[in-house]
Amino acid sequence: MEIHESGMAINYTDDISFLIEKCHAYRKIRSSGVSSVECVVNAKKNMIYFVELKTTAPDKENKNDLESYVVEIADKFIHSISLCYSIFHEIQKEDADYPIGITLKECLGKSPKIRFMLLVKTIAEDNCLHLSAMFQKKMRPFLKIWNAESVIVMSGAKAVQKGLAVIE
Amino acid sequence: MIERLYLKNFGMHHQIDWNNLGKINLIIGENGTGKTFLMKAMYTALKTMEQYKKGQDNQSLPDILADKLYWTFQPDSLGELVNKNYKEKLHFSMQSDGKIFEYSFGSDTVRKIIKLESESQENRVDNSVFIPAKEVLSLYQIILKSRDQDRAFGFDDTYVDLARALMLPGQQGNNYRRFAESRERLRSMVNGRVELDSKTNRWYYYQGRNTYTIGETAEGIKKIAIFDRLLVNRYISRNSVIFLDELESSLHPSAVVEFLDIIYNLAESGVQFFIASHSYFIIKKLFLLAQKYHESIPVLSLSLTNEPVYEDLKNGMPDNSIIDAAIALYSAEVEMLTGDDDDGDS
Repeated sequence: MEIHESGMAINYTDDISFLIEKCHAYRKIRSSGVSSVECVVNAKKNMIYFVELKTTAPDKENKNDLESYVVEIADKFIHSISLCYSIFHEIQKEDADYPIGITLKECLGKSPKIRFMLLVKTIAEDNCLHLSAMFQKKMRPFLKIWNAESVIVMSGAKAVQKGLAVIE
Repeated sequence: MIERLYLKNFGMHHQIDWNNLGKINLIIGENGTGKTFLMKAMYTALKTMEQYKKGQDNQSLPDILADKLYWTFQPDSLGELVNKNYKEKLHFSMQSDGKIFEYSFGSDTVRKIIKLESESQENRVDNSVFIPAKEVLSLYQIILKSRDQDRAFGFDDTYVDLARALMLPGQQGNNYRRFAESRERLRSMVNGRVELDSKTNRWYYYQGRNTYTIGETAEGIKKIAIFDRLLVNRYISRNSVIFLDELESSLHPSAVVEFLDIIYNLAESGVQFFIASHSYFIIKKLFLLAQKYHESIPVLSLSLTNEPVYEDLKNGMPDNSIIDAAIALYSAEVEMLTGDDDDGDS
């Protein structure tokens, strides 16, 4: 699986990933207001990342833009995990072209640690901290339900450093 | 307004050359990097100019300065203020209101300053104020006694001057619009007012129908009330220079942010501020103010190991250890959440 989005590229083997944004189930229902992150990845051990990529983030000063930015991405996380488990439990039909990777599927059924991750290509490191705090506030009940603690906001540079993405 | 500061071999500072100072100026750095020291150096120079030719005072500038340095830094001899790591003398130069005030002395100086030059030969009318990290309201009688009666070291001149300034009575009548607005906001922050009772000679905090002794009053309220009082009694005027040491101490981050809005408002009317801080919130809020109003807010970053760094919040957030500490905490959280810091088990 390879994604080129928002000036970044991420690349994982098919068995541990799921291109949720491309799958048929999502495309079928997105006109109903369903939104989705880029992909779902079982990057390590029993940990599953729901990964969204963005080029930039609004400045803290621009409160309206920032608020809608956070709400939009929060919706993506919320909808994506529902859709992912809905496909996993065969409530929605799995797409043969974009299936859930075998290893990822196994992990989904074994009490995984869920992590919601936003990778922003260009963002100051301290703004990652602020954005994460905003997600924490906005999504507290949801994060509690999934035992996810917080949304990880990471700059492109940091994502590259951690081997999660490549800057294009 | 102070436009430029240059000092050499002054205390722990080898050389500071801070140009193009703004209405609000920020000094940041780890503990022991000399933030307070630097502000005291500027304060003593300004206070010297304020005391010069005041009323019937006929002391010379060097004598006033020597006295002010002695009681502000409280060394056994003035020579102790000279940085011994270098062989040169201490040198201080400050340009304020377009005029240079400079002096120098060596490590053998006891109490007499020989070399002082001032382009201004007039008394500086507007008061400068140094607001230390600790509040003074609950200690003001002890502070004044230690100086006026005992002539003892302990509370330096920043405390003594402030305690004296706070005792000046409030004044009625119209004040500058921005000053009046600022007072209103300060009072709404503390939800009341702090006043000196002339009969008991004690400070009280009045909130609605309730009266509290200053000992029962929260530290943050005292800090804000000090500022209010200096506006009420007009000790602060339009060309005052205010030094705020660790503004954030005793204040909740939301109060710090509101306080900075008030400071910006006062700065717009001519008051100049120097703020020494360890607070991420202060840097961030001042950065936002600089960006919003396209205003220069110079930052001096002091370090124990590196040369001073001169930046401006108008051009972005400075790279410094306070922000690094906040980012490091967040990075540790990310490491933990991505499993790099644990075994990946819930």
